[in-house]
Amino acid sequence: MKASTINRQARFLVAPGALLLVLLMAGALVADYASLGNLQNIGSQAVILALLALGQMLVMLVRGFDISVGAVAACSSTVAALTMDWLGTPSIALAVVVGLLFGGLNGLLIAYLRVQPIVATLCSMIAAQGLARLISDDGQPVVPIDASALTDLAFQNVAGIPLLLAPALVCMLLVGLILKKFTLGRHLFMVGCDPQAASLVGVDSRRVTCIAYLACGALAGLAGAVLFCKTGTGLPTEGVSWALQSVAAAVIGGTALRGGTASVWPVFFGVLLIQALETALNIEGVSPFIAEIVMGLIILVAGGLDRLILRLFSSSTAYGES
Amino acid sequence: MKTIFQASGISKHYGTTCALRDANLVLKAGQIHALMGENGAGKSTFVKILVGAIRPDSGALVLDGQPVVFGSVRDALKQGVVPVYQHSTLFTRLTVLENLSAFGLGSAQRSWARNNCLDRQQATEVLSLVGLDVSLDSLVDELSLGERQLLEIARGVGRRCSVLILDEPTAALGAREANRLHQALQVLCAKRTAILYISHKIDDIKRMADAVTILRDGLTVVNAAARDDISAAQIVQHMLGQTFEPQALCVSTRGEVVLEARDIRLTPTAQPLSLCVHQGEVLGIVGVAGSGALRLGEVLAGAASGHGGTVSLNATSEVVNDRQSAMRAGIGYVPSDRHADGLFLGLSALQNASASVLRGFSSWGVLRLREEAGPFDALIAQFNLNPPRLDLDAAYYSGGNQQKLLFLRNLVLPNLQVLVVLEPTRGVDVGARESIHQALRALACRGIAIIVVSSDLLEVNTLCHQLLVVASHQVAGRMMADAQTDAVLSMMAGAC
Amino acid sequence: MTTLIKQHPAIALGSRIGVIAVPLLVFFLCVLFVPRFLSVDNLQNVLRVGSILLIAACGQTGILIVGGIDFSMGSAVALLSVVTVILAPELGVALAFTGGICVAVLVGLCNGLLIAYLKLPAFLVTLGMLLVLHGLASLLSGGMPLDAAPSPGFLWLGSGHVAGIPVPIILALLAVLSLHGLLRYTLVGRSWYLVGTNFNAALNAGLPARRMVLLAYIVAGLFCALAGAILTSRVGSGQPNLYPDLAFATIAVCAISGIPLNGGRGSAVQVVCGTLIIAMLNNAVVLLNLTSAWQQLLMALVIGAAVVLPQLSNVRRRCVHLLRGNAQ
Repeated sequence: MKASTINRQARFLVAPGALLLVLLMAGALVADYASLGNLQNIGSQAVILALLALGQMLVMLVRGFDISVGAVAACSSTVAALTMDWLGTPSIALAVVVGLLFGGLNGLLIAYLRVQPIVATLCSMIAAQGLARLISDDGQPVVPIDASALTDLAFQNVAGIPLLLAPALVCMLLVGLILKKFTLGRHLFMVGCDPQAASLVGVDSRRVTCIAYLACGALAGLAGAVLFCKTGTGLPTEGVSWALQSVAAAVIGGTALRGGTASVWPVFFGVLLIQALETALNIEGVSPFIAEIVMGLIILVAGGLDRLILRLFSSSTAYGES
Repeated sequence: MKTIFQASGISKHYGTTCALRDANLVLKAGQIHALMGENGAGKSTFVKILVGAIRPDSGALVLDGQPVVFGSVRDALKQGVVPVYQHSTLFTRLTVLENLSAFGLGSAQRSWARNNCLDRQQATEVLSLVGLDVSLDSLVDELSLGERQLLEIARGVGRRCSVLILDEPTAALGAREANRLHQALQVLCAKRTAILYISHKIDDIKRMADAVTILRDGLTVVNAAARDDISAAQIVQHMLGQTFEPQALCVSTRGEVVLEARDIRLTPTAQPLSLCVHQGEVLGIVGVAGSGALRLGEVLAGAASGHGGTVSLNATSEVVNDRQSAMRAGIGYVPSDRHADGLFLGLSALQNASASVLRGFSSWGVLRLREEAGPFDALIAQFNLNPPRLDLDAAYYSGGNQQKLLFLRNLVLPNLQVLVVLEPTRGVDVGARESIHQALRALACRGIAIIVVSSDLLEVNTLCHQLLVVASHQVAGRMMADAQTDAVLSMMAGAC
Repeated sequence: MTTLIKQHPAIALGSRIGVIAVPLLVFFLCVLFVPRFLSVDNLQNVLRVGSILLIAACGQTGILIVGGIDFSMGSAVALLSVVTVILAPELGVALAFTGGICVAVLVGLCNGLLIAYLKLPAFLVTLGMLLVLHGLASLLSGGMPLDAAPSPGFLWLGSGHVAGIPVPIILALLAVLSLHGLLRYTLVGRSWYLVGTNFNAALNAGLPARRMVLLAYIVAGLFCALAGAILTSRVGSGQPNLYPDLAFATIAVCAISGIPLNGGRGSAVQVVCGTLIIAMLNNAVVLLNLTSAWQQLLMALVIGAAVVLPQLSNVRRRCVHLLRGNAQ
């Protein structure tokens, strides 16, 4: 095998490996860590982040980046909470629509108007924050009269697996299927590898990029809906650090910043890793700030993963054949 | 023969410049039609219009007797017009199979359709058609340059099409691969495909094309002349609009050794190679793409590092580690890919030209802006820089003039002793090529050692005193210039 | 195939005039429609509030010009403030601020070393640093704001006056002038443009490209430190959440100023204009008694307009060419 093939495979093994390591260490050091309840807890905590990271992975696949996901999720949870009393359960669909709108805005700005992703999503982040504050009495949580139907649903377990995990799992299956089996998925990879080349072989690069942002927005909206289901309230100022965490999860999960390389399951392991780390440090009674520092260091190092892996393997095998 | 694809009265303007004026082209089934012209003659604009990448301002396309309007490459693909591009449009992180299927995926009707990759049987057939022997599952990253070019061609050739448009397909190919390609094209011709073949190489054209169309300054100067009705000299004359006289070999006296390279390995396993260059000498390094010739040039200029070995300057016995120390020691460098590695597009030509000598007009880190343009006044006239001013964006200049800017940057180096030039005239029109060659000769006469790395044997033969042939990252031979071309070619192909 | 943007000098001149015209327009609009906008006190207030952002944006501009980006500013100023407040009782005010400033410059140095020499992507390094530094600041302060012992010395940077002019405004002026001089008239500034436009070409031209990138982050650290010191002095305390969005705000300023994120372009004049637009609009929102929600929406609108409008004019130009071409 040549170095690039190894690199392609190995980058996706980092997240599962690290997760295993953290679980083993925490399981040994922290009492009750490996209990079913705690693992379930980690799982349900991870849902929102999993949805956001999935979206983040899609836009990073096409060389993009979305810092608005957290704000969009918060905004859509607020919208869902506000409309709960009128619409009932379908209000969570409205949350997804809000996400789609912001995703569409991002896609339009980035794909068609060629605004840089950071600027465009910064713009929609501020807009989403503003909108959430505007409709929610300046950032106060929105509590609908009766959201018990949803919150009850959220805390059920099916066969030991929290029902909350369902949307995340379904979305991951769906995205994984599209990436592997459908033309759209192949288009995403092609555009991420080289947008100009993709245009020259007939792929509509702009449309594909726009679709990636739309999907990311929709997933963020869904994350907002899940947030609402979990808490029973709309939280307009929540999610400041989620964009960061979703980037971290996507990068640890082997998604390349330069685009064109991504896989769903490693990203999910990245999400679980972050969540497991936070829970472990919480239980242990360590200051939450240490968790923050560890997270930061992980993101910091994640950028060097590519080259680190390449160096580890290339020293032994790169020229082994020639 | 039946006309398949016809373009008539095609015009295209960019701002005030007219890229293409009233161009006509008739492609017939089973015929290879050559399209020629200098850089900037409007070839690439024409090609982009034919494949639907841009829309013409006026004119009409007729395919199989039906008028067509291509809104995008996708439209053209659906109608059976398939392009093979000059610049690599492969997806380096996807596999060979996925790349072969790119056109199919690109023109898929709906993005929700199951992805329809070629099946492995078909893919293998396509690869064998162009003579490419690689695994379907290897990443394009792992292929050599020549293999990539073949894959690029295979992608177009393998698709069932009525019109195939090849833009400079042999630019990065060795002689053997080019032959293979020509055979593949003959097979397609027999299947009554119409082929448009764009190339600079007159030999190729004379050997293969059935008809020749030549563009100059956006005008069609020769329209579909039969191959036997036009001689190579006439082709050159039509392309240039003036007769082309090869200059005599450079006359300069050879002085002391200036630069010496010892035991350089281009890969960890290659044989080490050593060379030295004398004052006033022009050393040519030739090799096909991927042979390591360019790499050797980069190492000599300090722009890349080899695996062991030293490059040192004799006078000061300074050892070159990186570009910075090389420049301080007086080694100038013109990289092969001027857009990626040479120019600062978006900054002014002056800032481009003065980039290496910032210290020359600054004191304590503060620039004396008034002195910046001084050294260039005489050089602009000498080089025929067009437009003859330095306040425009570098992107505003044509390819040849951008190359001249890179030469200007090196000519003003205060202690220039060695100039390493990679592919000095790649993608440069014939006029600029002459003035660059003249400048190189003049430099050699001033006693500066020059290293020219090129895959163009003609160029190396007219410029250089000595040749070094590189194949498989090793020295395949050394000889004086004007050696037998065949001998050099066989060495270049040697260990491949 | 690369499409080159062939920029004619006339267009460049046009956009240069546009840069100054927009803040003037905003100014006149504010004067016309916002009550109490046009008073010496209020204008001074606009400038004083804007000065901190302006100084930090100067640093961000340098980084953007070399083709990098810095997300860590918000936490760097937080760490600076906490360190300063902790040091103040033991070392005295002046030394404490020096210590704090050293910390922020050190952060810039770290960023620069990781990005320029370890070749890690700037994007991830500075995002990671944002978390790491915030964690450190929170650890040091226990997560709570630390109040500084009240002393006039401590508050001087933020609310003092020299010859009737608030100190922050003077410092911002100095920062802008030094950035302008640095970019236009020094070897370092010129190298930044070259490195940011094409890193490989800069290496091949024999420029110390990596050192220049490092220098840009250090200089940004310095600007950021100045902004942080003023901020700390203004609030009179050390806070881990001092100005968490500072980096995003500076990027917004640069976006409004028309400085692209892909390097090689940008000037001090642009930054001043961008900051003035934001400062005036924020002030207007407050004077009009609108909530912060409106402020955010307005900000999003302005950023969007700033980045979309130039693109639209491109589209229009293309259409005009097409029409003319068809007519001929």
